[in-house]
Amino acid sequence: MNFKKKMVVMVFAVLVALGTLVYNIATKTTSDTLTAEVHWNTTSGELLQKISGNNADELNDYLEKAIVITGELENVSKINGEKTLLLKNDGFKAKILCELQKNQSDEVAILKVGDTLKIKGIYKGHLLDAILLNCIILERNQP
Amino acid sequence: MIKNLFLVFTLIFILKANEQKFIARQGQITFFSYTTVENIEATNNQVLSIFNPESSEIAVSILMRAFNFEKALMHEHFNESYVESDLFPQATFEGTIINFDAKSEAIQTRLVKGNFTLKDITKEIEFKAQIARNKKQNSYIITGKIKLQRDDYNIKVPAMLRPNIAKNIEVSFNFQYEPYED
Repeated sequence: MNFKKKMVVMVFAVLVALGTLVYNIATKTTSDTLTAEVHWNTTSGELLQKISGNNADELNDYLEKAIVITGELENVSKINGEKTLLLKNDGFKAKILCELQKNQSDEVAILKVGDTLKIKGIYKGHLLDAILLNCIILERNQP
Repeated sequence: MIKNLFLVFTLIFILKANEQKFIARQGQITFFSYTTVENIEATNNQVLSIFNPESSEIAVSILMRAFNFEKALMHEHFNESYVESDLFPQATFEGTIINFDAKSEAIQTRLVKGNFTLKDITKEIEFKAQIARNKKQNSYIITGKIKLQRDDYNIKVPAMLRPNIAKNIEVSFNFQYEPYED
């Protein structure tokens, strides 16, 4: 193989590699929460205290990051095929809304209101309630 | 953050204090962008809304980061470049349902007029909505569609991606309200 042919093959290989990289980035779906680094391990009471008090700005550090929350299950809602856990703490009117990853159906089926759950999700911010997406259930303890 | 708290505060207390209010903690908003290059769709299932049937007032607050996209790159472009969620974390709507009859149990199709704010730009909009009351469950469902103009809200799309994002964005919504206790 002469030099010119080698160059053509190399350029072609680089173009294929770049094309594959661009394609992978463009079509990448949301990453799995299970493997995401945990930035805060907290309780429903501590999180809701920050939202309800004057410390809400501190929560900006966790935007788009994975956090782990332990709290009591108030309800499981199903909207548009997406399941959401509502965690409560009796001291607060606000709730924690944890929209589940699609692979959590088996875990949800056995949940009961009043269970204490440890969940991991991506913190998105808060309105009246704290909102997490792509949540997974790590632990379940029955009352 | 003070601005965010003000918006939520407004959402709750703009509605008259002594009248029964209804809340949707998990309203759904879906937007669609149709172009010949690609179709983009995203859904937010955690939209907050307060409705006062007596005064026909409705208020909505949308956390922009809570939209679900099929692809991670779309989510990134949407939040970082188009709506700039760090600077403008919420979009809001405050409006009134025209000629709404709070006592009727029939499904009512009514005009809704109000102000929609996105990226600190407020525009008066009007759209049709269907309002259904379930007297037995003491609840309301409000659904409808709106068309928003991309250029009205200073959504900057790079020239290379302009063919991918529609100028008219179709937005559909579905709010299921239950009684709200202050």
